[in-house]
Amino acid sequence: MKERTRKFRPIFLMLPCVVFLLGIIVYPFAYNIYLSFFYYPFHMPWTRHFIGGGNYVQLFTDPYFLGSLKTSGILTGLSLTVETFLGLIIALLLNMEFKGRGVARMFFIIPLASIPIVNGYLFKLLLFPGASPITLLLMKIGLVNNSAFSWQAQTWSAIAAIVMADAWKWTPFMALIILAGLQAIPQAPYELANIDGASAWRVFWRITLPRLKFPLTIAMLIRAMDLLRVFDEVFSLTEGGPGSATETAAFYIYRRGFKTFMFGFASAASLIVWGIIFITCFLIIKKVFAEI
Amino acid sequence: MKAKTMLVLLSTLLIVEVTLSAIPVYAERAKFPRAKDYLTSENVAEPIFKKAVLPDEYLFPEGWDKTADWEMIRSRYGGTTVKLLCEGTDIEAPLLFRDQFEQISGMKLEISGVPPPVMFEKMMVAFASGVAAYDVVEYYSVHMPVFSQFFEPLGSYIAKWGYDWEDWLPVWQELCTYQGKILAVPYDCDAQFWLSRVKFMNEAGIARNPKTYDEVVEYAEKLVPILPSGVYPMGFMASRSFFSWETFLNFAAPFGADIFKPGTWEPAINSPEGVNALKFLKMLLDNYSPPGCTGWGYTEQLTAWNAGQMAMCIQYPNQESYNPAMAKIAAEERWHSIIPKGPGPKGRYAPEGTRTTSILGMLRNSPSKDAAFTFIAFLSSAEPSFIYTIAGTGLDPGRKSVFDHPLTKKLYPNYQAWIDSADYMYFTERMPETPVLESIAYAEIHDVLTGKKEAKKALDTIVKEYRRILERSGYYKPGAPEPPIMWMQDVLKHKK
Repeated sequence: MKERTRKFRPIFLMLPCVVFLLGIIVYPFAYNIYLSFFYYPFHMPWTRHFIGGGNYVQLFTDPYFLGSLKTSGILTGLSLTVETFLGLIIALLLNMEFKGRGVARMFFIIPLASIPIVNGYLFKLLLFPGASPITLLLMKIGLVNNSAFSWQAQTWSAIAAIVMADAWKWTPFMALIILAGLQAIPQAPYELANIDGASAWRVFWRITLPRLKFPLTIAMLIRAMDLLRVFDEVFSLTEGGPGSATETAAFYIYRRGFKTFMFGFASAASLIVWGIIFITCFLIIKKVFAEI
Repeated sequence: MKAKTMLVLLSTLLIVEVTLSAIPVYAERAKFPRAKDYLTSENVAEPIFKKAVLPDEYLFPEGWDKTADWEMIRSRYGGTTVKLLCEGTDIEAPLLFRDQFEQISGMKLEISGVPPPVMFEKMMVAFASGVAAYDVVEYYSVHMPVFSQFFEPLGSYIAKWGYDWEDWLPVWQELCTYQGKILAVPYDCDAQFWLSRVKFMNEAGIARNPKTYDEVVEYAEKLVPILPSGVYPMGFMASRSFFSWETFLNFAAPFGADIFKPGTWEPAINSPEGVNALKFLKMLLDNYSPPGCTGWGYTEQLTAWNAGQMAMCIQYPNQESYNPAMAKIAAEERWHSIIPKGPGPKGRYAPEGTRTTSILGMLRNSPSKDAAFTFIAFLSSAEPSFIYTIAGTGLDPGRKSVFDHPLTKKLYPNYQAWIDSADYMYFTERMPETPVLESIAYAEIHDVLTGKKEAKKALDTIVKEYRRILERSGYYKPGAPEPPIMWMQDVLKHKK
């Protein structure tokens, strides 16, 4: 009896956690897969019926869905580039020794604490036509010629607005991860390079950057997964417009799922997006860990 | 000791004085809603306020709010809490009357607001999940077919409580009825009108509002040279939401287009009239409207209008623009008229705007239905309706008695526009599939307005998708519902 109890004790101890995970991850995911094979308008439940792969066929022929995947890709690429570049510069600066470095580090991570939707509305105010300090600044340097310039009215400016809002919030995250990577680099290679008289650029390119490959990859991977699902800034800043120019996959799913309540259709769309993110991340992680 | 006694005495005197000073204010207000108690120079602009003197008497002494048996209501339902869920932008109206209602009825009122752009989905989730703990809900009449499953038919309550249902104009009775049942009471009787700022129109040598869309262009050309920097000839709600669909219908229907071919379920918005209307709207947005119009919903356009950024616009009655606390242009004179007619032989008066007409319904799971209905009846009575219209809360009237009252004509700038429009209104589709249909429609329309697509292609896509959805829902099979009559003129002909 005691032997049996001892044998099953680990299972009993893990059971609450397993039940919890099943309830909040496995069951909703499985139900999502199930729903994706149904025509299911939530507001007309009496019309629900099985349609097999019908939702998937409709999705792959829907120009708005395909466009939203493209938009998600573009926003991911642009935001990731800006955040990685700025994050690297900030991390390098914060890695230097200077007075007040601790305070500077603290201030730089403040945007990270902001709520994404609030961040989006904040930038909506900052970019308000006729009263935008950002537009005024750009007018001073000659990039814009009208204070009533509407950021939401053109595709390029709407995308720029979203990238701005996202970069402002998440660049500190990139900087933190890269800074941690920088702090883990041993000093010996730098001392040797100093003895050899290597230039700063050469030191960065040959010593620092290669050793940042792993933390950079992880940071970019985490951000890419988030960016492929970006919703808050799109919802608050542009609502997918102008037209559907900034409608990301997540916003498309929201529109189909919660504006029209086509649950089966939205479920199928969300699974496709999940699949894309999962496969992309799997391939990247496999390559990165293979190199290690 | 003496100092202590003095302190106690002074404190007591202060308390008594404060209490007594409150009573006269309380005693002066009439027992029931009275226009004079609510309409002051603080919430009614001076140009409007000076047009008439409000009498001490009730304007509508026979209104339900005055004639109901409040003693009985108080004895039966006193202490009951009635919960109202309303459109966020309309929350001022019930808040205005909350104290008085609570005093008269002995009930307690809890009011929650929802932002208009997310109203449908928030309500849908709350109702369908069963967590909606409300008694009375204000919602758009266009969603009645979807929400009918959650709401209590009101016919028996109207009869039981002697509610003056017949005082409502036929168009609003129509919008509160579904499948032969009265499911709501009219509340904010929205319609849209053409508004102009007289000072700019006069400066441009224009003597009246445009009657046709050809005149709109003609007037815009006259306005361009005289308007100051930052002010544009016109602006419209054209955001990627139902607002752009509504705005488009304000052009399409007057141009002679129809959503469905009359008498059938055949989608027809891609007719030559529909295509021309969409191209025309885009042209106006590109040439005569402020940048960013394609991102304007109701709030943004109202803000721009109140800030004086346009000389003309299509908007709801907009009484709140006469409220000095809300608008820079509050003191300016404006013209209000029916939406212009389209060009050509098929051009007609057919203003849209009833899509956002909101109505008051009672949820089936309300634990206190009779109490809830007394609140519905109170809030929608004639005198409150008059008051919240003139006070610029954003709500508008729909009662015959309110329109017939001489003071309405003097104090409500939209009066004539309303009278002219009532028999010509064009309706958006009202069916359970409306949310899906609208979502397709406004996405295509917005793509055209932002230059992403050609008008004909977008409207062809709308027609194709509409047909697919209606076919799936069985509208082309025997036993399908009767096709709707979309234009009020056809409704009136049908009734004759």
